[in-house]
Amino acid sequence: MIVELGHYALVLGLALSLAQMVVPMIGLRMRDARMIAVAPPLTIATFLAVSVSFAALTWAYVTSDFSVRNVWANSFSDKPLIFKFTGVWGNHEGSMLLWILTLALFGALVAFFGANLPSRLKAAVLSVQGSVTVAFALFILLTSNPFERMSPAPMEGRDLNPILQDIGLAIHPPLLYLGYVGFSICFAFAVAALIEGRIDAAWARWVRPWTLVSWLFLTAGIAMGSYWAYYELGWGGWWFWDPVENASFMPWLIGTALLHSALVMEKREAMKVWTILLAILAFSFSLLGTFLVRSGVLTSVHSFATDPQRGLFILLILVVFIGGSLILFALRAGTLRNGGMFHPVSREGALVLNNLFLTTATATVLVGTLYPLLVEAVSGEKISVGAPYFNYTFIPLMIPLLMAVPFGPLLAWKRGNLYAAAERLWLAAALALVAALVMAFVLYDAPVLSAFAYFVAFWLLIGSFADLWQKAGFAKNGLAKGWARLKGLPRANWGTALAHAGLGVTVLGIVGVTTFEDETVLRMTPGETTSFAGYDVAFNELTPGKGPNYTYDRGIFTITRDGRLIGTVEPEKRIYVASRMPTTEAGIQSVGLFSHYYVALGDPPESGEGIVVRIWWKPWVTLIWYGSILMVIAGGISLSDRRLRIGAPQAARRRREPLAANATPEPAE
Amino acid sequence: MVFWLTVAALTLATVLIGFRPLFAARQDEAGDRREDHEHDIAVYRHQLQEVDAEEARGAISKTEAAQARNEVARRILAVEDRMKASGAAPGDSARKRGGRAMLALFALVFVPGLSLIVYTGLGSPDYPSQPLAARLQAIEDAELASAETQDRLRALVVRAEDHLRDNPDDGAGWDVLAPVYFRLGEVGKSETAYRNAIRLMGESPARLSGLGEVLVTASGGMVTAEAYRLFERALAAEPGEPRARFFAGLADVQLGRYDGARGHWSALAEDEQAAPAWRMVASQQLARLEETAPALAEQGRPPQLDRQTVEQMQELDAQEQGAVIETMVASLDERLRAQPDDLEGWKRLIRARIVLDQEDGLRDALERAHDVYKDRPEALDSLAEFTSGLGLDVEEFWQ
Repeated sequence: MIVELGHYALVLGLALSLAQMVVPMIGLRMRDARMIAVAPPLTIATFLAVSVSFAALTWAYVTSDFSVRNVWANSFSDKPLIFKFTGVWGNHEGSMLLWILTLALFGALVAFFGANLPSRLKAAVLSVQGSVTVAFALFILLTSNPFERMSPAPMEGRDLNPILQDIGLAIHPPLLYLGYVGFSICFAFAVAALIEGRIDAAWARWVRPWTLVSWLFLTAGIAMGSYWAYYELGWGGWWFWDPVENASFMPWLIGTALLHSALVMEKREAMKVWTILLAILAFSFSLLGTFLVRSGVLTSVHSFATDPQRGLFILLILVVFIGGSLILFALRAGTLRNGGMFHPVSREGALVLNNLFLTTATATVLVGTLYPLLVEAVSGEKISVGAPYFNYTFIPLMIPLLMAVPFGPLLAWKRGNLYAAAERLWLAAALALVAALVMAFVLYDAPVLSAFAYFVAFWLLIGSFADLWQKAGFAKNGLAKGWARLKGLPRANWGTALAHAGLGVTVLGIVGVTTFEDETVLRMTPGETTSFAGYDVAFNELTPGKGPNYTYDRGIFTITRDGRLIGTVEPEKRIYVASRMPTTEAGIQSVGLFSHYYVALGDPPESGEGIVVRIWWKPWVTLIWYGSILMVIAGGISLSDRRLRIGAPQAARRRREPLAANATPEPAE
Repeated sequence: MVFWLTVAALTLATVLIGFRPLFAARQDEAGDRREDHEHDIAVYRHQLQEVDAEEARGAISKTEAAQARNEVARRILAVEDRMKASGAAPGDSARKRGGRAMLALFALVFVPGLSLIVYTGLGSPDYPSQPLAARLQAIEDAELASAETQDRLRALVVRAEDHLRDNPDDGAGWDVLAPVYFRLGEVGKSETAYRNAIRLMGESPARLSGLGEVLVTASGGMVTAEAYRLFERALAAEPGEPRARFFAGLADVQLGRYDGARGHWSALAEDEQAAPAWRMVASQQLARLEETAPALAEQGRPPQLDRQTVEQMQELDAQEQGAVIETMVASLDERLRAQPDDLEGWKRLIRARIVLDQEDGLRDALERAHDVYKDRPEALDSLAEFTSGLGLDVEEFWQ
């Protein structure tokens, strides 16, 4: 009964989201307050129905109800409980249901927290959001229904793809979806603004928190995915320029651009057309990513569903939403008045530069992702665009952008003074230079180019705080007063500095691991010891064993340096019972604060004793993810800035007094 | 019933939540842009305060602050202009009533109606959930229950056996005992009992088809030539005999005569005289046949012979034809020994063994195929699907 109830709830969700799409739109046309007011509660009702549906599917997984085809195809009775939960979205149908749940969730969040939004705009936003939900609910019901039943029910399932049986899977897709789908709200805001004909500074302020939320989840999701690939796939890489990774990276780049351009629109009413376009594009790239992954156009770890009919349906969704919104955009963009003027050297100018580089970078990634597909479609020839392409196109675009980042917050709005900003940054530049030289020559005895890369990373890291440093004015005001001033700064300032610094940390990790990484592959037999990258690795034993739904060969290695124990790692090769698929579990030992010693087992050699062992030395690799975490935290801090909640007429009036009290007068510089 | 009540409750709850404004009494103001503008002005006022705060903090100079304030003030003026321009909204009461009616239409007709129609089209409301734990429990219970009945049956059988030891020519006794043996899984004894009953009391459709079923079971699901003749005789005596009809259909499937099988099973499924259990099994098999027949028809077919060979074959008499086919199958068998990785070849061999009525050959082919593919689940799945489509009890062969 519960399974069928879930099925019904999904259909009910479709009907409710149809109402959510249609009713407020009619209300806006008819100027009927009641029909406009129905948008938020309807959105919440849709969310409730979809939640019931998702809970029912989860229940089917947890109780191993193999009369549900989806459960049978992707679960196994002996699977650990946690993977019964995560298995719900470890397959095409379930993950699309999660997608719909996230869509409905974001709608509900707007309905719930959107008290500061004018009700007409809110109704329009929720209506557009409803239309996206309708499209995906139809898609799932018509082409990939997770509630399809089987009679008679088999006694055992076919198990989840073993490489997806990992805690990383529990976290990575939901985070990524929160990001991907979050951009649907920005999209809904953009389309609603076009429909309502209100594209102004206030709109930019209202859309910003939602952009920020999606951006921070997408950041976390991508970082998580990268970390998961790093330890689970056993190849030691943290980014592969895999088309599916690119599919999530492109919305991130555009989302980052949107985050910055919305800032200009909010402050100066400039870049309006561009911001709207970015909001549409961010979600378009999310849809494109979904299409690439789900249609089977790409074959990769992630493409667990390959079915041309599904691909066609998603393509249709893609065409309707991207095409429709762009047509609307083309119709309305001409009617927009230009906003504030600005000098090329100014905060606005810096943000335009940021947008220019980010969108160009997105374009290079897009070309690198789609080009092989086009070539294959036209000539039937399979080519792959690998890391070299991206290294030659994407990275040169990033370097000037990263170099420019510390300047941005230091430039004034409208007309800035580059010279003055540079003057304020000389200390940061000097510090970065020293750090880079120390890194490159003293510690590692490395080529000059890596010194430059280190400089960029440190420059970013240190320069990010120049703005805060200057605003505090420690030199002029003394420590205590400077600290007080720092505390008085809007949280958004802190968010900016931390996010930029986080980017610096990530870049530092990337530079560290790409310039000084070392790798070896050798055949080892138990009892043997090898020496690599300054560490001794002893292969103690190789023991077979049995996990809940797999068998494994576990190697036990002891890592020492000059006789001092660093740690023991236990990499495994697993064979999963139901699918008979092998997987690797890497053995990772942290060394120092940020570095890893990474051991993975390969295949046993065709002849002779022993087993192939791959060992990597990965200096500073964890900085990549620590930096991402820092960026996510920074996003959270920015989000908590009170300014983002302003807009409700009554609430604003109430807040005025404490606000005035906060602004303690300070002598102007 | 409980299911539909829950469905109704869920629908009602979401409609009540989702269409709350429909049931609210107030909200008569028109949904115009006045409220919009208030929100706008709130934002811009706050921007003014921010400028003040930044100026106070010394983050921007006095002139910069003045410029920024001017800009924001212009935005506020623009909003106020728009506010005046849009004027009083046409508070058309007729329209508003229309709005409420339309809302009611959506809430009470559209949402529940659409959900119900789509769901009944897609879902299986009568199919209960089947959590594994509950199913395992049910199987255990059923086994326990059947073990109890079997114990009782066994006690009866012991008594009947005592009786028959003293009166071995009591045909009626054998006749009663034969199906009981079969139910207890004692296939060998059952066969003896049926043969004794037939010897002593003559053939009857029930005895013939019962013996046939025993033979089929003994050969792991293959309808041997002997069993087939028994079913034919039973059907000749009583065309509606359900067991014989069912197995005649199975024999047809195994020989690739799908139309024949369809004929037997649909007749049985529609026969109101037959026991419901047989009718259900027949209709299940029929449904399954419709699903698998196309695939079955393609798999395991003998290779197309060229016309010359066909003509040559036609000139031979039945015995010679049989010999030629035997040779072909034997050579297929040989080839599969040399090159075992040929799934299609194995399927062909399995089918050929059935057609040639070679029970041992069939067993041998199945076991060898299993050895070849035991590490490749997808091949094994394909093979299992093929053989179970033919009605063979593949698990028994592969144990």
